[in-house]
Parts: sequence; C-alpha cells; structure tokens
Amino acid sequence: MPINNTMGRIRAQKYRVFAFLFILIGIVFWELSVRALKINIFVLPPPSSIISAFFAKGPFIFLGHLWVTTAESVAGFLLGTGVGFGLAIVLTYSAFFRNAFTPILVYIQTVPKIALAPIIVVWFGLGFSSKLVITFLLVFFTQMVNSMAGMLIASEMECLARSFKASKWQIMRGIRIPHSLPSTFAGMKIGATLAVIGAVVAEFVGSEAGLGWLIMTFQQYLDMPSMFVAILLLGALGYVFFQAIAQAEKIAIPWYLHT
Amino acid sequence: MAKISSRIEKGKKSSFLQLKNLTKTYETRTGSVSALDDVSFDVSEMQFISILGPSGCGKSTLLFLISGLTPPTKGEIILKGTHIKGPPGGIGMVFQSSILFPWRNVWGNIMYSAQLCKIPAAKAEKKASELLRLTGLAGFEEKYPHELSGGMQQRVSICRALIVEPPLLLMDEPFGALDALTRDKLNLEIQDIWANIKTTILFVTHNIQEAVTLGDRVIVLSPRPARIVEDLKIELPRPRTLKGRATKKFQNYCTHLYKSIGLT
Repeated sequence: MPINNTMGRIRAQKYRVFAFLFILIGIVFWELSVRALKINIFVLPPPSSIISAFFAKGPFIFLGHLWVTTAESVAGFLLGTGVGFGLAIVLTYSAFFRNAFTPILVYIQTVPKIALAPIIVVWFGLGFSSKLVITFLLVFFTQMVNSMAGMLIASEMECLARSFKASKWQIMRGIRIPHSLPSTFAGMKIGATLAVIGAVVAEFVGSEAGLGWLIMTFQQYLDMPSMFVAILLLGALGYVFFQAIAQAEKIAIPWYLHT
Repeated sequence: MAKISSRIEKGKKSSFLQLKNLTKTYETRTGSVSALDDVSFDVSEMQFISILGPSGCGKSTLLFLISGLTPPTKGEIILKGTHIKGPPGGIGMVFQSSILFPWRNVWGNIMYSAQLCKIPAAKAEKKASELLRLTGLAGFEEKYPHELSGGMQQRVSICRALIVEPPLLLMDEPFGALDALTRDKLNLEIQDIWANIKTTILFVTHNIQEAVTLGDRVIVLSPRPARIVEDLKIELPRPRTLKGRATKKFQNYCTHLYKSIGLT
C-alpha cells in the first residue's frame, strides 16, 4: 500500500509537470501564430499584449475587480449550497413538503436565470445583493438535487436501522446525511463553477464593479487585451474555487475517495 | 402486562417464538401477489433453524414479518409471549450484502447499533472487543469497510447485529454473495459464534448443504406463495464439521431435502 501511494504521488507530480508544459507550449504557439499570421489585435490579441495590458492598467485595478467578483460568487455559493442542502434534508424527510414544494422549485429552476437577472437588479440594485441573489438562484437547485440523490439509501440499510428502532431523524442524521456527502460534494463542484457564471452574468446586466463589469466597460473601447485579462482572471477564479472544493472533499470524506 | 403473563403461565409449552397462520399478500400494479401462505411453526429458545427454499419463494418476506418491519396480511407472531407489531428493537438482522457504513471504520460500524439501542458505552465496548475476538477481527478495528474482504465485511455485519445481545438473530442468505470456500469457513464460524453467545437463529438459505450443516431443523418452503413443505429435524452431532458432510447420514438428509424441494 505505501509503495503504491508513493508511486502514485510521483506519477501525479510527473503529470503536473506535463500539464504545465502543455499550457506553456499553447501560449508560445498562440503568440507565434498571431504574429506570423499578422492577426489584428482587435480580433485576437497575442499573450504578450495581454500581459502588458495587465501591467499597463495597473494590477490593482484588475485585482480589485477580481475581489468583487470573488466575494459575490463565494457568498452566493455558500448561501446556495447551504439552502440547497437544507432543502434536500427537508424534502427527503417529509413527504408533505416534497409533494408540496417540488413543483414550484422545479419551476423556479426552469425559468432561465439570465431572463430573471434584469428584474432582480431592479429589485436589489446595482450592488452586491443582486449578485448574491442571482448566484444563489443558480447554485441552490443543483445542490438540492445532488444532495437528495445522495440521501437515497439501500432499503436494507433503512431496515437495519429501523430494526433497532431508529427514528426517522436518527436515520437522517446517522445514515442519509453521511451517505449523501459524496454527491453533495459533486453538487458543490458544479456549484462552484455555476457561482462564477452567476456573478458575471449578474454584473453584465447591471453593476458598478467586478470582472463582468470590467469586460463590458473595455468592450466599449474595443480594448481586447484588457478584456482577455479579465477573462483569464475569471478562469483562474473558477479553477481555484473548484480545486478548493476538491481539496475539502479529500479531507472531509477520505473514505469515499478510496472506494 | 397481565395479558402477557397469563399467556406465559397458561402455555407451559408455549415456545420462544410462535408463528401462527402467517399470510402475506403484496398489492402491486399488476394485481396482488401472494408471497406467504398460511405458515405456522414454533421455535424453541437457542435453536438454530435453517429455512430452505427456492430463490424468490418468500423466505425473505418471512424474516421481514418476524422482524416486525412489515406487517402480515393475516396471522400473528409471538416472541416470548408478546405479539410482534412493529420492530420490537433488539432483533438482530444480517443481510446478503453486509451494508456496512463506508464512513465508519469497523469499530464504528459495530458500535452503531449499540448507540441506537442506548447500550452503555463501557458495556458496548467490552462486548465489541469480545465479538471482534470471536470473529477473528481483532486488530482490524481501525480499518474501513473498503479495506476488508467480502467475508470480513460480513463478519463485521454479524458483530453489528450481535452487540445488542439479540434474543433472536435473523439471517437472510448472509453468505450467499461469498465464494464457496469463504462460505464453508463462515458456516463453521457462525456455528461457533452461536455456541458461544447463545441466541436463537433463523437462517434463510437456498443452499441445502449449508442448511443441513447449520440447522437443528430445516424448514422447507415451497415456491411462491411459500408454504411449509417439510419441517425436518437434523440429528447430527455438534460441533458439525466439513468432514461430517461426507457421512452417510448427512448425505441422506441432503438427498431427502433435494426431493422435498422438488429437484429430484
């Protein structure tokens, strides 16, 4: 076992080197082909112009807006995950709530959130709260569905607990909730990427700050390199967000990743 | 209370477990399915009863009725003079799959039922160590289910059922998913365990050799709806061994059971 683990770790490190190399090769190829084909900077800016745009505008401007979008997406994610997980518990626990609320929850989910965004901005203003609401709406349903799926347990598992006179709540707390953690984490991984999308869409519709707002602003000046800076930062945000959840999963449910 | 005690007084020969005219019909979309039809038998305390029948005949239904998890359509179940209506708590169950909790280690899985039954921690811990020693699992307390073989997982699930010191242990084809060698090994082990902990076991199987090796009695059920075809007393000396399977007497029991199950 320990030998396998070490081997696995060495192999993973090797792959990481390759992943980094491929990114580097991609960037070099992008730079060279844009120059060789003399592609207009308004169509596709080369990496070098993107990097210089980042420093010319001042990193603090970009990072300030990155912070705004990060705060919006993390807050919306936390709220959506919490409410989604809570709803999963309530709807799994109570047949009454499940029958009463599922149709309306599904309806809320099927309304395109982007269509809803202008209304939410009117209701909640151009600031943080409208971004929070839209991101939340995007995240909670996926979380709820995933957690609910994880709360389904084998009938024998339930019988075993019931044969020891476990109450419905004891079965929920002792079996259904831990049993749901793998799919809850799957829902959180999807939620992390949805949260960034939600924050940016909300910023497109109406905002005063954030990377989405920045992209719209630079578009008016056709400042392609700066728009690319914002997009690359958004990508980095989503990536770090996703990896953070993956790490949390490793710590929280080590038993799952081995099975 | 008065009712119960009067029944105990009255029935000097009243058994540990009585099944009276048990009938179970399931309603399905395509009509009603009869799973169990007028099954009656008595079990004395400390007996090991093998329940033998073809796959899907309603053997599991019978165990679920006895556990109180499913109510019978007709008939009654009396355990130690008390009618079973709903799970009485403290009946041990072991299923074909071990259904261990992957998020708990061996120790945690075993302690789970003790916690539900509110057994004091000190007593439960002592009992758990004892059971782990008895099942050859000592030293595996910290392992997680995915680190164990199928046979070991099933041993853990037996410990989990036994830690509450159940007066009655219901086993639903517990070794059905294991390979033949592990199965033989666990047959001997469950006999040892039963001799050590002194409980009554109802053991459902569709394996004739297993039924004869383990049972004081073998109750043969017919294909669906299950009726009792035969109630055969197995008079072989204990402890029974795998070698004992070669004896004429053992073979005769098996041949006889093959006949009554309708295979020859």
